[in-house]
Amino acid sequence: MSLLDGILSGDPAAVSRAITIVESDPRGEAARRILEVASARGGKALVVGVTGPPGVGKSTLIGRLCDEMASRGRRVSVLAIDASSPFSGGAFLGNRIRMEESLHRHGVFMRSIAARGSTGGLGGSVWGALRVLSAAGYERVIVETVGAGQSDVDVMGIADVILVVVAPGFGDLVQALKAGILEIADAFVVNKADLPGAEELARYLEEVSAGRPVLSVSAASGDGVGRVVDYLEGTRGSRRRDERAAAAVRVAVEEILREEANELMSTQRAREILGEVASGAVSPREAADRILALRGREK
Amino acid sequence: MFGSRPPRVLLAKPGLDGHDRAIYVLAQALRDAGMEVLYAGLFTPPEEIVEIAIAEDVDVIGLSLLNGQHMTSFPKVIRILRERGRDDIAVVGGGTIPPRDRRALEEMGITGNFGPGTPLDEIVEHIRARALEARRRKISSI
Repeated sequence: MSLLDGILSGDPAAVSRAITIVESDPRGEAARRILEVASARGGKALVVGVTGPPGVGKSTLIGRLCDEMASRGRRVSVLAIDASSPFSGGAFLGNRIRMEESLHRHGVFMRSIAARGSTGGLGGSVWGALRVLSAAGYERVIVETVGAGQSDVDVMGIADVILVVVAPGFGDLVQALKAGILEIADAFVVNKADLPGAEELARYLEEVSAGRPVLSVSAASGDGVGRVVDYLEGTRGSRRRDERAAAAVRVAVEEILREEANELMSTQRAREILGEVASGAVSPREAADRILALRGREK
Repeated sequence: MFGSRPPRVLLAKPGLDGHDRAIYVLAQALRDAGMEVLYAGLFTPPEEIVEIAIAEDVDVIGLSLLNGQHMTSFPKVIRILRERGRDDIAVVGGGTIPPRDRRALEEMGITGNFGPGTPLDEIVEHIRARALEARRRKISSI
């Protein structure tokens, strides 16, 4: 069976290899062919973004969401995105540990994706992976990010519905506000609802949420998870379609421009211009204009 | 095709052995060496380890046991991999493994089999070499 047939029949090994190809060489011939076939099949995956500060219990919650969705007859998959080390380029992708049991119990396909230091490239690979999972017949894809800044906001741009998870005594809300993850929420989940401070947190969110739902859960015990899935089942994923398309295209454009910038910066002429900036003769902005003027002339 | 990807490694304990401090130390060392590391958690059955390895498309599975069960659990993992035709995932072992067992495991294709006190660098470099070898066997045709 070819890889393409494998994707369409939902074979995990084929889906997995397709994601690897789309991630490794997004503009290569094989990736283009995969995305063509996947897009033609389409599929109807509702993409649920789950984000929030480290330690609030996102992975445990996702395990519970998988249980609940699967028990309602949905085919579920998970993409968990983790940061790569800026020093070594390596990553510890530890999100599986807290949901492994749920994943295995219901045959949930899960893939861990390392951000590899590029937000643009990341958006591209996540978007590609979502296409593949949708074509493979998954009806729900949960995308987990660590909720720390711009790259997450970018990735969440490709979700149909976004849950921002918070917990009392954790992930300082001021930090969350700074990172911009409160703005992107469609609904808030207050996890660890049994802990002191959870009620105040929920009340505070209700004040600032402008009518968006605030759902209290205890992911550890499963309390309240059904209500979160009720909410997700009731959402219509189409509301964000334009926004999502714009976000996906923007990350692709950024990625292409970044690659081009790297190429331009490594030309002989660019290095000469850099020397002039270093000596103070030319401003960075002027240097950038001069380097951009080299486009299409010098390789 | 896959040349630019960091090596991907799944660490696992395929049996009733609750000791995973060393796993976290090794995970950190592999990450610092530029690899993408996954950990399956404690008490993961061999079938499940292989399922995770395939879904995550890893190059190496690193198995560790300190409870003497390596001769039953490790071979199961490699047998399931072979049944599924996955010669593009290498298996590396570690734990309390006597020399006699090391030879038997090597013959099955499970390499390393590092005992307690092995320098981390040695394990990291062995895993890197096995990852590159496995990576060359990964098929990118569609």
